[in-house]
Amino acid sequence: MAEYGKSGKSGKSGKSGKSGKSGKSGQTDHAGGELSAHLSWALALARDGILGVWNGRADTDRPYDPLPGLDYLTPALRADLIDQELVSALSVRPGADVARVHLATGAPLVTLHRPSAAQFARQMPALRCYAELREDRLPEILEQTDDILSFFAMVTHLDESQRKWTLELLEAVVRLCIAVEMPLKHGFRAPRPHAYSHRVQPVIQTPAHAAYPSGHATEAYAVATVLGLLSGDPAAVAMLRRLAHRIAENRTVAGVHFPHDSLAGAILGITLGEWVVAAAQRLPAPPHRVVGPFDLEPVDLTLDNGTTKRIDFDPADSFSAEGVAALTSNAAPPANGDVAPEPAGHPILAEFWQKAQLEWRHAAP
Amino acid sequence: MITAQQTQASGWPDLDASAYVNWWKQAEYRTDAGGPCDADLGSALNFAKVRAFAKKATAGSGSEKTASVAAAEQTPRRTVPLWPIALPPVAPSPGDPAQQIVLTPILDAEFGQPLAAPTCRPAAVMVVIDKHINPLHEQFRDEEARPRILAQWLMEGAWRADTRVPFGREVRQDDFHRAADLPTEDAGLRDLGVANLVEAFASRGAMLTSAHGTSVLALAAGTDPEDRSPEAAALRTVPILAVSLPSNRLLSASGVFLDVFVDLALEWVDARLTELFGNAPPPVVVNLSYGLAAGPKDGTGDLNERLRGWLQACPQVRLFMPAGNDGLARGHAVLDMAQGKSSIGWFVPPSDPLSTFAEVWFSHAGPDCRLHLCPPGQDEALSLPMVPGAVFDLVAGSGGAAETIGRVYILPGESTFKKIGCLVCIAPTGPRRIGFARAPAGIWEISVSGTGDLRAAVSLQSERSLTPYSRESPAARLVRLTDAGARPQRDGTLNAIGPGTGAVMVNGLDLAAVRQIGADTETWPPPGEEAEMPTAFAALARWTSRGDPLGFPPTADGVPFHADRSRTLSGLLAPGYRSGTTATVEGTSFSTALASRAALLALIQPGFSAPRED
Repeated sequence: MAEYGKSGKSGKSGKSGKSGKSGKSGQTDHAGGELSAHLSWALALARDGILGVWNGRADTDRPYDPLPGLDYLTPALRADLIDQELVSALSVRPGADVARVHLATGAPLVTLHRPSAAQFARQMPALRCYAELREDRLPEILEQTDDILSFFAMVTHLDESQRKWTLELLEAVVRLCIAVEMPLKHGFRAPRPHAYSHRVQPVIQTPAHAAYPSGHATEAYAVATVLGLLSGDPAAVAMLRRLAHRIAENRTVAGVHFPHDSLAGAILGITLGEWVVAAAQRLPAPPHRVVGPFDLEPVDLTLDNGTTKRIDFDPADSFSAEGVAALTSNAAPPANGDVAPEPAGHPILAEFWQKAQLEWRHAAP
Repeated sequence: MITAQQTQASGWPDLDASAYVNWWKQAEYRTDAGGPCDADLGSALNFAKVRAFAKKATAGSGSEKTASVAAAEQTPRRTVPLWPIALPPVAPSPGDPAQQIVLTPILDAEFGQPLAAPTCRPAAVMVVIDKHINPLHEQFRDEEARPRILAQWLMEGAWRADTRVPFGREVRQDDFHRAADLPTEDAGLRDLGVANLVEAFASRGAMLTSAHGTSVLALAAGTDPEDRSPEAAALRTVPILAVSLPSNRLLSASGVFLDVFVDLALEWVDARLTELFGNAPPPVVVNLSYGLAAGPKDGTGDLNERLRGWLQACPQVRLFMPAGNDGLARGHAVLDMAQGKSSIGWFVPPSDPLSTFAEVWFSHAGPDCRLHLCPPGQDEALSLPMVPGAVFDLVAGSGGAAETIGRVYILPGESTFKKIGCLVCIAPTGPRRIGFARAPAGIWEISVSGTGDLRAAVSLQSERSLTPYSRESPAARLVRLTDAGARPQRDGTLNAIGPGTGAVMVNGLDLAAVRQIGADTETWPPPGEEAEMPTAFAALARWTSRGDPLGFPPTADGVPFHADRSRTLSGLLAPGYRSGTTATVEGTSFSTALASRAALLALIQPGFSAPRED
């Protein structure tokens, strides 16, 4: 997760950013100019010159209503509203060995088990091998340090005019992931790879927060899931998942994450993404998913051609796109499938979703 | 002050056939304490295994079978022994880990099922020996989009007990078909073991964007799936056999270890062709876009002898190899006493963590032939007699402070290298492990003296494979020759494999200069063929390497092919490491691939003629 990235505190939509409270389009700016004492004094002088006599009565008892829904707000204020709604709908119960994310109803959404130090250490050879890809992947690693949305925009068009609501929704999803993953990381306090050997020598700065689960994996897979459900195009879904895998894998290439971190992040991210979409439409929550304990059992994956491939997790490299697909396959009946949506729903989220969906409608034939 | 002291080289030439190998053991892969390397260092162990395998080939006993074609018992073989590995057997030494390996012959039909021949006999077969080959690439599919590769030997693949190769892994068509059904190419490559991101010393070059072998094979025999031309349709019927060579850390950048792997690769190819097509295979085009920089460039050498024999015995095989003339400008020169050119400078860069080497080959041997070597900053040169088998340590300092910073091997006449020559090894000039001296950087002056019409060919290579833990050291510097007396020249070849064997040596056509690099311009085009000979392409069935194999200096007036897209855009465009990618590639490796493609088309499309270049 990027502290200084686009969704971070100092980022584009962060509190100090362009669309933040103090930003150019923030609510303290005037229609044609920036806030200043001089402007306010000038406004007062102009009022004196044009007002005339006013007895203080209202001109109408039907004041105009700003734009319906959330459109009347700045992006930063919309972000505040949706963040509050999403975060309050989930509760995170961190733990040193086992942690859970629960729905507001108390039903579990995701359970994560922490790998042992020995299980992490068993992945060091994989880190050594992945490091050979560093030169190849360095441009991606550097850009993805604080920007993953540009990569998703490469697959499915995203911008601030044609897909404004989609972009805001995705940024909210990323912030939700951060709000969930940080307490989990803090609870597990899993050391980063460099703590296991001074020979890891990551090519980027290792973040201060703990490794497990991977924030990049969580966010990338959550974004891929929501985008995939918005687009409704199976080919796009496959490509988005592949991209999410690569973004997550690049963190192992860089030397700041273990494959276990990415596997857990992927499952967490997919589940959060599915939950966001389900909650927006007042549908049942996704099934309760469990990651670990890290003697991972083989699972079956059904391929596009109908055949089945058995995915046997390698203790040295547990993170594969096929493994993630197998673990999140809905072939088995979901345990939480019949959990009813909350009565109150999530009106802010619902409006985001509805408006984002409109941006994906196709031209009439 | 650096002096030369005659010494004994432990293990050379009895155990180590190559002086490079001997220096490599002495100087490289040492532990931090300065002792010999731990056998767990993959390169050392793997190489020891390969060498031991090659040496055991003629000494097999009991249930072990040899790797020699001629010695196979149960499967009918050709009567002509094609690939005997004629190295002297070595008595096993106790505790030698290389003796513990189980050797599986390449040819033994008892191990696993033989390959199934294609249902229709193809008009030709493409063979590629290279590294980083992606067998699932869209360019290597047939009309039904199935992989065309019949079998691939991954020399760095994880070895299985039931495999039919002595090391690495053989992957076959049914494996490819299964892997091709997986959701992504990456998943397929991992399933095949072509991309292994778990084991330290395993195959994973296909994960890198610079996939040399993939681009070579695509240029040689690849087809775009959307290409509906008759040429593409014809190429899609050509099956492929592939050998994935080990990465540079086993080959070493100078290629000094290459000959063993190439030897085995060609034996595997021969065995598989026999298995598929019996004793009368269809025409075969073999592309080996690799070079051996170490060794004489005049066609002598054991591997060249075997190549010559193979190509003579198998007229349906056409072998294409690069002249390797990209590095000629800096690494190759001729000292000609008659012309007054008797010395040249050899720039050894500072902070280089790797050894550098210079080979000096004399046109004739004589009792007064001498090599003179003057280290940087020293007035007095070291004068060394060309006594076959002698070894001289280059020692800095004296008494208790003396340290070896280099060595000169005078190569004996009956070793791998037939001519009288010497190998000068200079230790790294950069930071090294404890217990090893650092050689001075700067210009080392090489000169020769002797009576008669003495000439000497000087060629350089730097060792760039470094440790097993890096793909290729980005810190490696390139050595070069400086103009001090003799002038570095671009004529000839830097490839010790191929000249004079009957292989087609492919030069890079320098469009910018509108000339042929590496060609002997005095005899180009050949007399009587001026009218027919296109300037860029040739009717390859008629061409072989024409340089005088025992001539001096060595020449490589082979076939010129494009090395650049245009006079301003260097390099060629080729399919990249994954389906749908494109790479810019440079060098005679890729000109060679274009030559292979022209040959293939000439074989499978009657009446095909390569376009002319005006």
